Amino acid sequence: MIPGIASRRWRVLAPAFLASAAMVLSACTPSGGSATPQSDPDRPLLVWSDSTRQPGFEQFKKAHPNVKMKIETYDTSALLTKIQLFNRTGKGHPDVIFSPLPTHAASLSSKLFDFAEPLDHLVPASVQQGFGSANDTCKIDGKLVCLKNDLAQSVLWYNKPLMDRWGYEIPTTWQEYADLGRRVAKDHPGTIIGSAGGQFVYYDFLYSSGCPLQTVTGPGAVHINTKDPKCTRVTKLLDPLIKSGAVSRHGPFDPEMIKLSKKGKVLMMPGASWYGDFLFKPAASFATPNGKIAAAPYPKWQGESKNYSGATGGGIYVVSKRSANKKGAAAVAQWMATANKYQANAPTYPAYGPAAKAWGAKHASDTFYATDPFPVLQKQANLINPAEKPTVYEVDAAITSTLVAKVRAGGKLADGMADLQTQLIQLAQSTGYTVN
Amino acid sequence: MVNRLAALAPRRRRSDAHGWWFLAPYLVLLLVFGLLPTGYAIYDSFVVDSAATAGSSLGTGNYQNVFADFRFLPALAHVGMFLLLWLPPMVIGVLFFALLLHDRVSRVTGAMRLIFFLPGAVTGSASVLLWYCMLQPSLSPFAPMLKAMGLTSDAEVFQDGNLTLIFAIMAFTTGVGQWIVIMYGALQNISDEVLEAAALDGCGPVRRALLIKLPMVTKYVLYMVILSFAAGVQIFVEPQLIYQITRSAGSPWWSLNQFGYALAFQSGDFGGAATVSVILLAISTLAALLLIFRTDFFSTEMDR
Amino acid sequence: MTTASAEHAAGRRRRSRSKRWTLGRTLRCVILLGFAVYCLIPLLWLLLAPTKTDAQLVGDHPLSFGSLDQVATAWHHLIAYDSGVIYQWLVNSVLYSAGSLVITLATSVLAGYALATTRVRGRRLILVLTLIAMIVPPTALVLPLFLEINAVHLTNTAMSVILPGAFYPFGVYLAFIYFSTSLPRELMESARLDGATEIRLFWSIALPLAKPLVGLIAFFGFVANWNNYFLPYVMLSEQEMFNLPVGLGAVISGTPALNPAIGGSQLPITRPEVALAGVIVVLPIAVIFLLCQRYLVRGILAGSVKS
Repeated sequence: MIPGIASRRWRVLAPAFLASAAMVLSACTPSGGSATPQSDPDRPLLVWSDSTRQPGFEQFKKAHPNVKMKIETYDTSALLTKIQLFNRTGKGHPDVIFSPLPTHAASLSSKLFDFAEPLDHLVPASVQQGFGSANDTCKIDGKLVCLKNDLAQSVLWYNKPLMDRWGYEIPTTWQEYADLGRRVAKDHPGTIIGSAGGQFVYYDFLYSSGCPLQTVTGPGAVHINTKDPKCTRVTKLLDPLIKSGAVSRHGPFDPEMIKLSKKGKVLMMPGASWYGDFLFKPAASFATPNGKIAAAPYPKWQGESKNYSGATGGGIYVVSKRSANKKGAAAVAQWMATANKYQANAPTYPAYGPAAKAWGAKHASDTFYATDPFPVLQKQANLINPAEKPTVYEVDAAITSTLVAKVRAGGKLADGMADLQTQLIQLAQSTGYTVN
Repeated sequence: MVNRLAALAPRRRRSDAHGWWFLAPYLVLLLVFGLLPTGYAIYDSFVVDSAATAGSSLGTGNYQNVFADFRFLPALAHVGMFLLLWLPPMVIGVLFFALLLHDRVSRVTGAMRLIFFLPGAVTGSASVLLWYCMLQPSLSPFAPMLKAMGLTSDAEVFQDGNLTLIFAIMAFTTGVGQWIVIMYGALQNISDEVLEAAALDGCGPVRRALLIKLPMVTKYVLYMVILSFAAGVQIFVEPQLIYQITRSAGSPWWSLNQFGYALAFQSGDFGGAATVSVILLAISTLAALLLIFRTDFFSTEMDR
Repeated sequence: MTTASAEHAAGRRRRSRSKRWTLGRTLRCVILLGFAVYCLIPLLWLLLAPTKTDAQLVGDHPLSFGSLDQVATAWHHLIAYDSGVIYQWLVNSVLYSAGSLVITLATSVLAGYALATTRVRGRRLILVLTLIAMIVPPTALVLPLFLEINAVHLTNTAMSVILPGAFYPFGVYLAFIYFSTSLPRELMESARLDGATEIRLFWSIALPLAKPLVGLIAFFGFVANWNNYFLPYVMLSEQEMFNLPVGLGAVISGTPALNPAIGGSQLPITRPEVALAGVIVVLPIAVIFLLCQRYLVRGILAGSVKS
C-alpha cells in the first residue's frame, strides 16, 4: 500500500470488514510529503549506528555534553525493512543513520522510502569542498542526500618480497596484469594474482572498468548494457586467467583463500582499500606476517587516460526528513564524517580529505606494511570511476547468481553476462526505473 | 448439527452453554490474530496501487505482476524441488526409525529417541549457521565424507545446483527427530494383544511392522505430511542466511517467502508481498482441507 | 531377518530378555547407532567450537578441545557487545516465551475441553479454522499483524510479541484430541447427575488428568516462541526490546564473524562467539525437552488412531 491513500482505501473497506479491521486501517497514517517540522535544537536525537561506528558516536556525545542523544546499534541488513515499517506507523524514525551500503543513498532518498533529507544547506559549503569527489555517490538527482564516511577505492595489493624474489614488475596496465598472470601460471602454478569468486568481481573489475550496470542517466533513468566493450574487456581479460588458475575461483574471504595465503600463494590482489587491514592482517583471516604487503596504483585500461578504481562499499551518514532537529542531526553526521578526533583512528580510509591526511599520518608507522600504502590510497581516492552511481536496486544478488555462480561452478564470466542483463533490467524496472 | 441439537434433552443443552464461555478466550485470539490478518492479506492482494495516478483500485494487477516477475517461477521451482527432495525421505526415514526403535523396547531406545530429537533443538538461524559449518570442508567434522564425495572447498559445496539438496538435508536432520518421537508415541498406542496375536501366528518383526503397525499409524503419517508440507512451503531463513553468509549461493529471492519479503521491503510493494502471502496461504490451505475431508479427522466420542 | 526373529516368543516382545545376537538385531543396532552418531557430531562440534579460537577452528581437528579459558574469553566478548545487552535479550526471551505460554495454556486447555465435551454450535467450523490456522505460514501474516498491533499503538512493546505468540492453534488441537479420547465419560456423567456444575467438573476431573497435555503444549509452545524470529524482528525496533534470536541475528549480521566481507569491523565477535551464542539459544530447549520427555512419548494424537 502506498502511504497517503489510506482514506480512499478505507472507503472501499468499511463495508467489507469488521469494526476492528477498520480500526487497523484508519490508523494507517499517511507518511509521504509530511510538512517539514521546524528544527528545534532541544529535541533529543536518535542515532542508528552499526557496531563499528558506535565508539565514534560515543566520542561525539562526550565532546558535546549538551546535546541530547540516544545511540542505538542496529542490524544494518534490516535497515530498509525498518524504515518501511516506520513509514507505515508514521513514527519511530531515527534522526541520523550510519549505513555501510552506498546504495542506501539511492534507496533512502527515493519515493519508496522517502527518508533522506538533502544536506546541501545543512552542511557548510567549505566542509562540502573538503570531501573532493568523495561525496559524488551521495549526490542523487542533484541533491546531496548523505555524507560519505569512508572510501573503499580499489588498489593493487601485492606481496613485495615475493615479487622481488621472482623478479616480476608491478603491472601498470591490465594488459601487463594479464601477462604477469600468464607467467605466474607457468612458473609458479597454484599462485594467484586475484580473485573472481565473489561479488567483489563487480567492484574490483567491472565497476573500475566503467561497465554500465548502474549507470544513472537522469532522475529515475538508468543505462544497463553488459555487451558494452567496457564489460567485455573485463571478461576477455579474466576468463583466460581464471582458466589457467592465476585468478582464483574463490572469493577473497573463503577459507580456501586463507589456506592459499598461509602457504604464501597470494602474490597479488586487486581490491578495496580496506583489504590491507581487514583481509591480509587479521589473525582469523590471512594473518600475513609483517613487512610483506604493499599497495600499487590501480592498472589502466588500454587507451584510457585515467587508472580508475572501483568502490567496494564506503559507508554513509543520512539525516531523516522527519527529524524535529535537523540542524542537530546534520551536525552529528558532519562531525562523524569530518572530525579528526574520530576519523584519524577510524578503521577505514576517511572520505574527508583533511581527515584522511591525519589518518595517513597515524598509519605511516604501521610495521605491517612493506611500504606505506597511504600515498597510493590517497591518489586512488579521487579516481573512483564516476560512471557508476548508487541505485535503489542492489546489484550484488544479480552478480552472484549469474557471474559468480558460473565462475565458482567452473565456468566463465562471459557465460553469465546475458542472464545478468536480464536480471538487472527487471530489478531496475521493479523499483521504478526506466531502462535505456 | 442444528437439528441434532434441537432433538437433545433440555438439560443437555443448558450444559452446553458453558462451552461458549470456555471457548471465548481462544475465539478472541483466533479472530484477532488469525482471521483478521488473513482477511487483510487477501484484501490487500487485490488492491492495486498505481504510482501514476497515486490512487488504487481493486483488481488482479498484483497477481499479474507477481506471476510475470522473473523471480517468481524460479522461486516456485526451488520450493517445489525442495519439497520433493525432502518430504519422501523424511516420511520414509521417520517410519523406518520409529518402527526400528519400536521393534524391541529397552532403555537404549529411550536414549536413542532423545539423541534423534536433539538436532531439532537447534532450529531457525542457529541451525542454519551450524549446518553451514558442517558443510564447510575446512571446518566440518564430516570433512572426510565430503572429500570422499569430491567436495574439497565450500565453493564446491555451496553452489546453486546443490542448494536444494543442502536445505533438504538440513530440514531432514532437524525435523526427523521430532516426528520419530511422535510416531513412536503412536506405535505405543497399538494394543499389545494385537501384536502378540500376530507374533503367535508366526509373523516376524518385519512383517509385523509393515502389515500391522504401519496401517495403524497412517493417520499420523498423513498428519505429518501435511504439517511438514506447510512448513516446507514457507522456507525462508535457510536460503536467506546462506546467501547472506556466502554471498554466492542462492539469492535474496531463492524461495517464495523470500521473494515476498524482497517485494515488501526492497521495492516497497506491499500489495505484491500480500499476493505472495496469499499464494502461500492457498497452497497450505488446500493441503489442510485435503487432510480434513479425506480423513475423519474430527470424529470424537460425541459424534459416534 | 524374518526367520531369525520369528524365534522369540510372543510374550517377550517387549522385553529384550533373550540375549541371542542375531543378524537382524545386529543390523538394527548398527543402523540406530550410526544415525545417533550422525545426530550427535554436529552438536558436539557446536559445544566444542567456543573452546577454540577462530584460527584453531580452521586449523585444528574439528572435534578437538581447545581450552575453557577460551570459552570465558568468548563469553566476555559477547558480554562486551553494547555493554551487556545480551543479558537484556535473555530476560526478554524468557519474558516473551513465558508470557505467551501462560496465555496459550489457559486458552487452549479450556477451548480443547469445550470442543471435545460439548456440542456448541459451529464446533466443526471452529475445528476446521483451527486446523487451517495451524497450517497457515505465520510469516505470511506478520505484516497484517504489524498493522493491527500498530493500530492499538503497541508496536515495540512486549505485548506485540506476547499476544500474537499466544495464539497457538496446535495447542487447541492437541487439547481437543486429548480430552476427546482420555476423559472418563462414566465418571463425568455420574458427577453431572449428582448436580456438579460444569466448572466444577472441569476443575476436579478434567484438569487433574491434563498434566501430560499441559506438558505437551508447554513444550511445543515454548520452543515455537523461544525460536521466534520474524515476528519480533518486525514488531520490535529498539535493541533493548529484542529477544535472543533477533539480537544474535543483529550481532552476526553486524560483525565479520560469518560475513568477513563486511569489512572494517574491529569487534571481537568471531565464529567461536557465534557458536557460543548458538549454545545459549539451544540449551534451554534441550533442558525443557528432557523435562517434558515423559509426556512426549505418550503419543500426541493418542486415541485418534484407536478405532
